[in-house]
Amino acid sequence: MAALDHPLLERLRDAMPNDPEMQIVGKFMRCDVLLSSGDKRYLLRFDHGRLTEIVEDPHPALAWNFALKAGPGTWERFLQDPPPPEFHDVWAAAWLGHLTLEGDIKVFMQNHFAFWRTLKLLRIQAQATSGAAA
Amino acid sequence: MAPKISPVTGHYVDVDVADVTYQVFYLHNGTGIPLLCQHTAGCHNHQYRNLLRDPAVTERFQVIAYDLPYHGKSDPPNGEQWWTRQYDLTAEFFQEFVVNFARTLELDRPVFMGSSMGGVVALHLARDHSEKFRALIALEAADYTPGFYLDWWHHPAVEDGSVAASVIEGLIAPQTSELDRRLTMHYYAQAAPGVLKGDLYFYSVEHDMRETVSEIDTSKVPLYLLTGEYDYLSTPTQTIATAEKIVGAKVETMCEIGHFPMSENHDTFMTYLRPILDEIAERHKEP
Repeated sequence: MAALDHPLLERLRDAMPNDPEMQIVGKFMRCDVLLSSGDKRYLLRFDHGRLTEIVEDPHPALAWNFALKAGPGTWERFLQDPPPPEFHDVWAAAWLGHLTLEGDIKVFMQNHFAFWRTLKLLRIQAQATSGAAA
Repeated sequence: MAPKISPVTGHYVDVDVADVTYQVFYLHNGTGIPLLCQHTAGCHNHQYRNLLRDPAVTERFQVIAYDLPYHGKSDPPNGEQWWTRQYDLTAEFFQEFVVNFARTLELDRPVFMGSSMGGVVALHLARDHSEKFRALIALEAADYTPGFYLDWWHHPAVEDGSVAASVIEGLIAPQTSELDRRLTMHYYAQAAPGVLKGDLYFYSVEHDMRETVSEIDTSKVPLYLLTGEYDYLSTPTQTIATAEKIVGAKVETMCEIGHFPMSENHDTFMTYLRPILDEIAERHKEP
C-alpha cells in the first residue's frame, strides 16, 4: 500500500509538467501547501502548474497558505485505486473527520481545480509505484 | 446516412407559482406512468440523460426531467426584478413548483424522483403532499443536511464554475467512467453565479425534518430511499437512520455510486432503480 512520502512527491513533481490537463488548469496555480502524514511534514511550493520545491520537515518559521493534516492510514486509503468511501476525496475526508484542512481557505479555493488535479496525479503516481513494487 | 435524432424532446411551458409566471424547460421521452425527475443543486436536467433514453424505462414511464427556475434553460421569473433579491431556494417555493408543474402538465399522480436537494424535497412532498403522487424516490437524502451553504460558491475572489466542478467531483464514486464524471462536472460549471449557493439554502439551512420526518405516512404514498456509498453529504448511515424513523419506508445503499446516481453510472443505478420501477408499474397495472 502506497504511503505519502518524499519519493512519491518527487514523482508527482516530475509528472505535473507532463499532464495535459495541468497545462490548462495550472496556468495561474500559485500556493504553498503543507501536507502532514502523522509526524512527517512536507511543504510543497506550487507555481504555474508545477511543483517547484519539496521541503521535508520544514522549519516552523516557513510559511504556507493551507495545510492538509491526516494520519498515515488516511493517506494510504486516499492513495488507493479505487479508494474506499470517506477517504476518496479531501472534502469527504475532511467532512467526516479523517483529515484536517487549515489555513487560508481563500487560497485553497482559488487553486482548487488545479490542486484537485494535483491530488489525482498523486494517486496515479502512488499506483504506478505500487505496481512497480509488485 | 440518416441523422441520429434522439427520441428525447425538449419543451417550454409556463408554470405559475405564487402568482408569478416561470418559463420552464423540460425534457421528455416515453409513455405510461409519469416520472418527474429533479436535478441536484446548481445543476440541470442533463443529469437524467441516460434515464431519458433507456427503452427499459421509457416503454412503461414517461420520463419528464425539468430544469427548476434559474437552472439550465429555465429562466428566472419574467416580470420580476429578480436581480434585486438574493436567490435562496425555499421549501415552500420548491414544493409548490413541483406540484404546480405536475398540475400544469395535467399529470395523473406522477412518480417523483430527485437527488440531493431533489431527494430532500421528496421527503417534504411525502409529508405535505402525499395525495398528489403515486410514489416518491428520494436519492441521496437525509432528514438533516447542514453545512454546505457556503459563501465560497459565489465569491468574487474565486471562480464559481471551476470550484463547483472540482468540489462536487469528490461526491462522485471513483468507479464512474471518465465520460460520465466529466459530464457531471461540466454541468456543475454551467450554473449562473449564486444559483448553487441559493439552492443550498434550502438543502443546508432550511431543511430540518429531524422532528417531523416520522409524520410521513407510507400507506398514503410509497417512499423509497437510495443512497450511494461514496456520498459524504448524506451518508448511507444518515439515510438509513432517516428511513428508520418512517414506518414502511424502503431503503437501500448503492455500491460504487456517489451523490449523483443518475449522472454517474446509469447501469449500476438501474440495478437498484429497476426493482422499484417494477414495483410501481405492477401496482398501477391497467386492469
